[in-house]
Amino acid sequence: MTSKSQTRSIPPIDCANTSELIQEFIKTRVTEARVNGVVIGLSGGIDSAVVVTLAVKSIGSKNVTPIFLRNKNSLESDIEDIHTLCKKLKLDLIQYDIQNVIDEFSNSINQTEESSELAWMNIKPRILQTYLYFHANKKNYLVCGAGNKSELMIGYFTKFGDGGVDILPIGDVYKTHIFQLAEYLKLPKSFIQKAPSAGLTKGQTDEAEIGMSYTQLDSVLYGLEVFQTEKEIAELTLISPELIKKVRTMIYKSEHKRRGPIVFKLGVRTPSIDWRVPLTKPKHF
Amino acid sequence: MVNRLKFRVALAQIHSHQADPTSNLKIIAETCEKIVRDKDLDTIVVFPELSVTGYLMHDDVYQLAEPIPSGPLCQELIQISQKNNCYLIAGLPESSVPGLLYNTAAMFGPQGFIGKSRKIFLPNHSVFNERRYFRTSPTINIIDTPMGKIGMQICYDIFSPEITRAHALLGAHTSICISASPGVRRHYFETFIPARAMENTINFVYVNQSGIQDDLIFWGGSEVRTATGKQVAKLEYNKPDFGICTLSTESAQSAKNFVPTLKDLPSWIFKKLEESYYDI
Repeated sequence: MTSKSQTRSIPPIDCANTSELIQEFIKTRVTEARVNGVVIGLSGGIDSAVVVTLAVKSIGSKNVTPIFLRNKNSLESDIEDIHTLCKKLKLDLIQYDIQNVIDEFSNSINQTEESSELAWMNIKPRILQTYLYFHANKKNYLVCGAGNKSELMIGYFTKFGDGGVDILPIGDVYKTHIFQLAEYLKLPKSFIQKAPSAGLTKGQTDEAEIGMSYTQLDSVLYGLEVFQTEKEIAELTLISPELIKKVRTMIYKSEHKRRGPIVFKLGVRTPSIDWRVPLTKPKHF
Repeated sequence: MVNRLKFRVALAQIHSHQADPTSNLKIIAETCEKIVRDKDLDTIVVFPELSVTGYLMHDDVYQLAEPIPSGPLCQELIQISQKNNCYLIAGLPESSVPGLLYNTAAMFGPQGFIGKSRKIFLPNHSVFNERRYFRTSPTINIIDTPMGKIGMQICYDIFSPEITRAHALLGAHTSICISASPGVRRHYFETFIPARAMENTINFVYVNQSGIQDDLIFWGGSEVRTATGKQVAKLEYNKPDFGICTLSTESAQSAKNFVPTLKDLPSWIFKKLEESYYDI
């Protein structure tokens, strides 16, 4: 599976403006939450590389803590890329080898429970978030996620794992546009050239697992975003109706992952439904 | 002797604090204080939509809305106008009879309360929730001021060309639109602002919120167009900014001589519009 196909790509973004707005967003959220900075988990992939670069531009390297958690699936090339990027951004990288934690955890379950492959795969990202929140709490920082719009819309993330963060600065940016931002931000070429991978298993690639290229996925998502019908999307993108249907199915099946826990409405005003207050406490009230 | 043929417009593109009128009134007062007086011209300082309370106050609106002009926030705005000898337009939630709220633009001056206009088009699509809280204004009005007749409208009102047209037909030389517009709408506004000025031969002032509230960024970009569409002020995008320009109360007249759109407007079009509205 490759990103290059006959599919028409989605319209490009204004990288300078998008980059500036995301930086403003990070700064505002940090200021209004009255915290000192952000913790970001680095995977060696393009998304977290873009986010950490924007965070440094926004609030400065002394307020950004990158964390890398090595495990048996980690690639030496990814580790090298992370070191190169941190050096370039003047960041002090915190590293752990968490393989023994994963093994201990897995062993403790293995003795008593049967479970699916998905359940095993989700252990790592959930352990990773525990490390990130430990450092965030310790330093009074926010946990800054690296999920992009394409992944969020099809649920290609672990609920309460990499999805369990305080802010998602690139959560409204398609993967196609992440590549444009990476070029604009002059990220090392290796981040841009490597095949996107969640790194949950050895040799895994996102596009193989999703079953289509990001170009195809983003074309369908963009069409749905701007209210095009399936027929219009098929005509405009040359993507098969079956693939479009598959994307819509993934959207429906993952809606629960994009929402907070579903609260059952019983009262006059209900949390997360119709009891609405500003995100930050007013200074005077 | 003040020259009433011209007046100054100060564009106060602020970043309002959400549900925090105390902080916002401080910003409004400081903005008015820093304006250097012009003894020959009156100055209207224009603040954005819901600038007194912040745009995204959510359910706190029920606590923050007040009668205009008798409410305490309005009394503070009157004091700011009097202290700084300026006119001031700001947006705030208005409570009328109990349970009826409006999204309102109010004008104050050294003599006290001047007038108010309520928002007609309340967006309830995309990220907007205004009809959840506010009632739509049942009327269009203009305000009699010492600088002549001025129309006020609020944000999404600009999407309806009839509002500015009504301001012009009612005799306003200037239409002032206060706004809280998030970034994705920018190209619509930047198309409508010169269009509303030119199609109605009326000065047009647009003042937007700036900065982030919750998960929205307001794009700023406030600007002023004369009745011929000439841009005479333009502020920064996305961040707080301030600018001042001078407008003529007579430029609308000379523009109308050149492009007499209002003279050429036949009344049957309005009747047809009304008929077609009910036919839909």
